[in-house]
Amino acid sequence: MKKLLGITLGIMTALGGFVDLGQIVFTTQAGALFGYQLLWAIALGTFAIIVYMEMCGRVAVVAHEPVFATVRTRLGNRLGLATLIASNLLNLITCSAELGGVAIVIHLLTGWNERLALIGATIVLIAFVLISRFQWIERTFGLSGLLMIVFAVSAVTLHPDWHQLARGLVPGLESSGSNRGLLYAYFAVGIFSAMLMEYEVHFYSSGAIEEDWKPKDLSENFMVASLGSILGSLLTVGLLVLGALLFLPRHVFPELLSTAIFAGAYPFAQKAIVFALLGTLACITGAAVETALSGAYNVCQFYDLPWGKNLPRRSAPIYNLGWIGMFAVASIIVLTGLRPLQLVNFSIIFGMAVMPFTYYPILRAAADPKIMGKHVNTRLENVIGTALLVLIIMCALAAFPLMILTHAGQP
Amino acid sequence: MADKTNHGPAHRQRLNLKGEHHRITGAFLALPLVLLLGCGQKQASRREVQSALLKSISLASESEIFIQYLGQGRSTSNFALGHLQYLRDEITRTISDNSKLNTPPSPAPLTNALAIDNFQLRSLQQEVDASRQSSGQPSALDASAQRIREIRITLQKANSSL
Repeated sequence: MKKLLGITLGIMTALGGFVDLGQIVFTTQAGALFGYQLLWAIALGTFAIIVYMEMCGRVAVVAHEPVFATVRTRLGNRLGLATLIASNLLNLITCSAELGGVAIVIHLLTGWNERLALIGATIVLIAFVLISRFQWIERTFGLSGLLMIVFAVSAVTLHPDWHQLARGLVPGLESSGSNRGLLYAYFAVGIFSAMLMEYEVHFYSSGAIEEDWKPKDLSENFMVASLGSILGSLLTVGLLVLGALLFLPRHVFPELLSTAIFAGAYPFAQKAIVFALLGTLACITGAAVETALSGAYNVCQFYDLPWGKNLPRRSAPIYNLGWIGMFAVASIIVLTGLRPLQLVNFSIIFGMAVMPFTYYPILRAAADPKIMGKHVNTRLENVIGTALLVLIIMCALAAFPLMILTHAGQP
Repeated sequence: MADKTNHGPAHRQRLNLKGEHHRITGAFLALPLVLLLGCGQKQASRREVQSALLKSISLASESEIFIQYLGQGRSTSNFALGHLQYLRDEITRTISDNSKLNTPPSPAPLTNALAIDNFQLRSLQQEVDASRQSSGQPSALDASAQRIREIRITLQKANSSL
């Protein structure tokens, strides 16, 4: 049972990363524009995040180095600090977008005013995280996020063409046109980026230390990283399929969170809408918590300050003020009237640009026999990690030009 | 005599420099104004008009599916009211974005297509408003979905004529 509950760290990490506000809308859009043709990007992103999640968990357990301690030691103080600022800016933007999404879902569930819902939700979230131990946070959001399964069930109920779906595992654009080619590249980079969002590895490696994993738990580390990511990935495929089956034939380009939620409940009736709303609420709230906590973890790990949800609050003042501050500033950003989806579109592409500075130090640390001992990367792991890092760098270079050329993915 | 009246060449040069300075300052001050006015409306290309039409088709199609779904009594009332409001806001934003597009005097097809787009979007907005008010009446919703279908078809014809 303990092992089963241990998986919730992987589930919360992956759902918060894969099935957050941006990814829900972005993947549905990808399906609405290209059918199943971007399935390979989801598969590649899943493989990459499993590889790096396992690696950062292993480094955290063996070397007791969470991601931002590794960033500092491998990149040096200056570049490390720049990475810290960029990563936390990204966490803040993402947290704002997720809180905005939470307010939208509460409004759709209850009819309450969106601004009041935002303020209320922020207060409740701060109170919940303040009184809960880390394990309860991950269990609450990991398990409640499973309600998102309604999206996968809806996708299967609409009878996808499985043969066509399998063909989507091979990259390739069936229709021509330079703008369509650019859009295809933009969505491929965006999906890959959203699946590798930095806060996933920040949260996962910190979580492994919060849960006090030991080297003997390393087999569990691989299982947690794989199962959580595969589950998140299947839900993402569900969103792609819904976009392809429901919106592509009708020429709908979904730009609202409520449109994607509607797709998740389309074959069914009222109860499915409630399930879809609750599942979305759980995932988006989980992502908000993940980004807020990651912001605090990053600062404390970089400056070697005490951190952790399981420490007495007074022992880690910067850490506790850090995540509370993240929530507070994020909600103020949303209250200024910025639309959550505008924020998240920017965060996905900005995240891609910062990504190499997060994943390179993880690879370096995991490949270092001095700190990893017998748990150092094998040659195969190094080759795979390096190949993926090259891909990440290529995507990072292409992200901004593609965003400009496609007007942020407008068909 | 000394140049007590200050009309000598040095003074004229100073005046010229001063005039040049004013012109440069004026140009700098006018630049934001020109940019502001320029940003307000821009000459639309064929691709931009097509993109605007595609967005409107998408909004009409989405409204049509959702109102049909609503007519079948499959949505909760809070979700229906909320989603229709978000759709309405998106239509309003699109109308506002379209107003920034200024078609050149020729070719005429672009001007016509944009006019059709704006007119149909306003009709769509009215239909979505009406559906919010009649969310519990299946027959009214069916009629609304039918009218939205016609809006969508008109927009599709405008797009294919480009």
